[in-house]
Amino acid sequence: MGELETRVREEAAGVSERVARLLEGAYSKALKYGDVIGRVSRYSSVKVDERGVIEFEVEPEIYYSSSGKAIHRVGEYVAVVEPKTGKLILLRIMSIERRDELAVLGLEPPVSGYESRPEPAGLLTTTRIKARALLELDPEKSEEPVPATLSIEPQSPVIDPKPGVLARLLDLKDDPGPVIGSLATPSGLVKEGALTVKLPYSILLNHTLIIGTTGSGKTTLLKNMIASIYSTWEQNAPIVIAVDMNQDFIQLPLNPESRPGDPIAENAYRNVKPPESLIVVTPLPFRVINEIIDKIGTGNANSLRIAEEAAKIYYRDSIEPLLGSRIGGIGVKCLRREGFTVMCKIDAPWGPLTFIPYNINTMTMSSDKVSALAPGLTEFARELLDRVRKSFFRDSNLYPPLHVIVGALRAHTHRVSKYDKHENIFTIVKEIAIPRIASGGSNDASLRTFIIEGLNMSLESAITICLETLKTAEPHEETVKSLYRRLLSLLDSEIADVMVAGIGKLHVFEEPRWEDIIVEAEKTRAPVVLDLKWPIDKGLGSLEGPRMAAYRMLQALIDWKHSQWSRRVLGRSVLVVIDEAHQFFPQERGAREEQEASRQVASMISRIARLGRARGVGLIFSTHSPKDLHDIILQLANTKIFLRTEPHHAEKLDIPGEVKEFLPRLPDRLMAVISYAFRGGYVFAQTTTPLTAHYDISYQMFKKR
Amino acid sequence: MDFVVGGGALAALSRLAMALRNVSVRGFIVRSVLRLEDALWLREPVEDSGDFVARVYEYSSRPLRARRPFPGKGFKFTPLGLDSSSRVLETSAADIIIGGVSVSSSRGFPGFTWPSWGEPVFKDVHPIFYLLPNFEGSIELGDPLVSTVNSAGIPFDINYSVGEAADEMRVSMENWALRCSLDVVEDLEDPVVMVDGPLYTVVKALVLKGVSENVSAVWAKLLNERVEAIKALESRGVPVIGVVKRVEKSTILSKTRGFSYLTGNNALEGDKSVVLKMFANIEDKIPGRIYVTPKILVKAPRGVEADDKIIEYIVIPPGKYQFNISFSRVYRVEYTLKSLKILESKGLDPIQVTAMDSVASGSLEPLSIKMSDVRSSRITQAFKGELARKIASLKAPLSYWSLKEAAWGWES
Repeated sequence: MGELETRVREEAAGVSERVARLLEGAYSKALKYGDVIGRVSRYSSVKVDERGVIEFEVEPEIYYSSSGKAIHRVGEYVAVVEPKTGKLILLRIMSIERRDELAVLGLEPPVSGYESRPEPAGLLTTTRIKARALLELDPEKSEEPVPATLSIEPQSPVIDPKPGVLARLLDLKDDPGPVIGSLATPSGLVKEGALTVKLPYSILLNHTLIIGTTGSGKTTLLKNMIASIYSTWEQNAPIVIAVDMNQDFIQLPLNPESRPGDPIAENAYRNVKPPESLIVVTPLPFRVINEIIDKIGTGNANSLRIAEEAAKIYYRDSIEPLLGSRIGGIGVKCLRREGFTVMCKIDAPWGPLTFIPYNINTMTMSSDKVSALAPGLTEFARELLDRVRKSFFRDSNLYPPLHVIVGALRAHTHRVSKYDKHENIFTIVKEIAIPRIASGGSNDASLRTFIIEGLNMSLESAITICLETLKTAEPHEETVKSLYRRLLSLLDSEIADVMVAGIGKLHVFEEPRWEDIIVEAEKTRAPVVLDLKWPIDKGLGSLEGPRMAAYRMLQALIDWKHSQWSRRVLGRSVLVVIDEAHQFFPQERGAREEQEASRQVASMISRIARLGRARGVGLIFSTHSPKDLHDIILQLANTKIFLRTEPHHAEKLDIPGEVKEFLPRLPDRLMAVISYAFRGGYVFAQTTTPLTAHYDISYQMFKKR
Repeated sequence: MDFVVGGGALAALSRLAMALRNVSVRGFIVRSVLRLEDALWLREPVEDSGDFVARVYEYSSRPLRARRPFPGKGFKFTPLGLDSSSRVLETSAADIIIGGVSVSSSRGFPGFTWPSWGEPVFKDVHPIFYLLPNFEGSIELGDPLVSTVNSAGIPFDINYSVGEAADEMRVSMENWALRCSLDVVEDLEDPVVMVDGPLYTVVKALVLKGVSENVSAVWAKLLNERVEAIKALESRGVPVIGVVKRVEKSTILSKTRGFSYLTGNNALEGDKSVVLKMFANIEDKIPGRIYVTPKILVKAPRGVEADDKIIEYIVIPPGKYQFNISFSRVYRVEYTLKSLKILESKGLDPIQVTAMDSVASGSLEPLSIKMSDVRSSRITQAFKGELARKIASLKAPLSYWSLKEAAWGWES
């Protein structure tokens, strides 16, 4: 034997000894971090590329033991202990191949069986599992997991990691944030729900979209998230503002009929309970105010008194049916915070309920914001509106109420001349403005002389001023007509510029200030619900009003947050939850005018979303039909949560293929959370049944007793 | 069990590859030389075309009877299936035969396979490579796992047929595995050894007169080894059954006294066709049954030192209610009188042992034998691939087909 050969042999012996030590080390590490369930295949090559698929084998005794449970389902997580570095590599199971002994041997089956008796020995075959390498981590060091790129040795031990180890591998952060649910696979919970999935608040500020078919658990998820935020109420927890089309969220402070007893409720939502207070913000339609004035008389018609009556009506209409009992007198106390926002405190069984009537007041609003409320205006129309309002503002330091502008536009189209001006303007006031003033049946004719509060002039003189401006502007007839139509429908939404007749004067309802609402919400630790269903129930036929109220609310909110930001005030962030978002932000389609409207809405959301991130306003959209939702939302939402979804709804969206497969078949409340918050790109999680009251007819009727 | 330290199969493989590289031979020779022995079918079993004595061993009113494939209640026994496999690799220096053998059981016993990737399990090892040089002369390695002579000690020379050497390799390895299984059967519950192929083979060279010593010596040696191994097992109370799957060519039935009426004048009609014809002629076939001929005693030819064997033919239809002739399987089961007695003493029947390992497991052939078949053929294929790779990496020439086959192995 030559000298060289001897040296080569010795070196080879050294290497094999070292490899043996590494492998031994890997197995002892494997025992520390979980249960050893198998080893990477010796029979197939282990190739790690960018979408690394690894094959490993599981012996029958492990497969049929209790520790083999982790490998019975596709989608489960396991880990490989890599001998060279001692790192853990997280794998997600893609396929499990079971073959009977006869299949392994490639025997020909009888055409019809001789024997129907099962043969247990046939099942004692090795299970081959294919899994995708996701992330790698050195568990001994305090580092974050990185995408798996390390080569993997055959024979490396495969483990079912302990819950803590799995949480680290998946980088499930315990940062403050609402609980989404327990970690799951498409078919059920991982580690019996021991691992909690949270979405950090910082991620929520980058906007979230929840998609799921009806009954898949969208509203339940939102309610549980809100309950979770308010139960922990961490330092940087946001105030939640829920735009509620179905009065789902006004049930938030109520306890569910029975608290869910599943592992998710016991682990992930251990300390979560319904919030103890609630703020309801709701548009107060003109017709309700009119009824109230009818009842209390014009003499008592101030905003506090009207709000008090409205609060009572609201409580009777919306809260009492939920409680299932009727109380005699409702204790309502209304006050005006800092001389501005009217708030009514009601003692509800769960604690304080704050009722805030929300009406839009255009008298202090810049023109671009008014046109945003009436989307679909042409460029010329917007200019004209701006001109009329600005020239009025120069004289009186306030913008004219909608009644005045609409009246002036009407007068202009009717070519009111100098000579019969007085007579005709009176007719127009009678036709247009007076029916839209809440007067409780006071003398119509006298209203024309009433002074508008703040402007110190009558309707007639205000209209005359605007008319003059219109005349000098010489607008095209069509422009005037289109502006007239849009503003009239804005006025007829019964939410904008609600004018109330007092004694000798006309009062336009003030718009509540968001800073007051937020301060109140922070003080009482209450979620804010913008109830848009109640005004519709009260006879407001179209969706136009509520939709407009939602836009205005978002706009006002962002303005306030922006002013806070410019003053460098670091307040609590705000999380706006918009259920059934496609109703507010529809897809661009239909006639040219509708498309224009949709575009304007889109630019508004885009602005809110862009600014929102910097100013601390996060949006959560939820819909069952992403096709009807404006594209911009799909683009802006950085986190997407998919509950059970029809495949055609998911087509347009960029979802990993393996997730898309499962979407139509997901069980209730199980979701795929696609977010950069998770190192693997997405996780599956399941939330529990509602932790707050959820009076959903189908749920009540068909729930398991 | 004693373990051999060092000298694993892979080390032998490396040494062999090195040795082959060091021999420089130009070109490949063609080994298929037609010789007189080949024309005389000297290496064929006597059952195929030779003369032997066979007679009906049990009385039966019908030539093919319906039997239940297995008794109502399961018998306890451990079937051990034994099968071997061989591959040929052609290089310019020599043709190499790679042999493998395996013993497996469909009931729990893990079995053993030789060669193995690890260290050899038994102290006594069998060569896994037969080296047939392609030039006048020999390659001596002194490796117990590489043999340049056949079982009778006759060197493989340039005229030695590769096919013959492979046959000898398989039989020799099976004999060795039978001997080795003596070491493992003691721990098992009622073991029954099933060999793939005849219980033992008597080639025509052994019974014809005037055959050259070169041809008969090796087969006499192999037969002797087999008979000794079977006797050793039987003396420990382990019955041995041979399961012959290819029965097209054997002519036992037509030569059996009392059965020859079945074939009439066609005395050389193959047994499979005779049995299937009988099966086709049964009018009232009973569903779920297998069909069995009466036991036939085949006498060992004069001058051959072996026990007489009893044979039975089994027809396994393709399904419980399927009597399709062309998909039916025909096996011949062979055993000695001694084995029959051992089985009967345990309440077992050779037919049921075979049938229970096949139809009761849901297949049409004995599972234990199939397991050994798969294991031995896979391991020889793997060793062939490895050897080809080694030789190719040493830049020694391989024949076109060997290289091609090996390359398919590397790619897949």
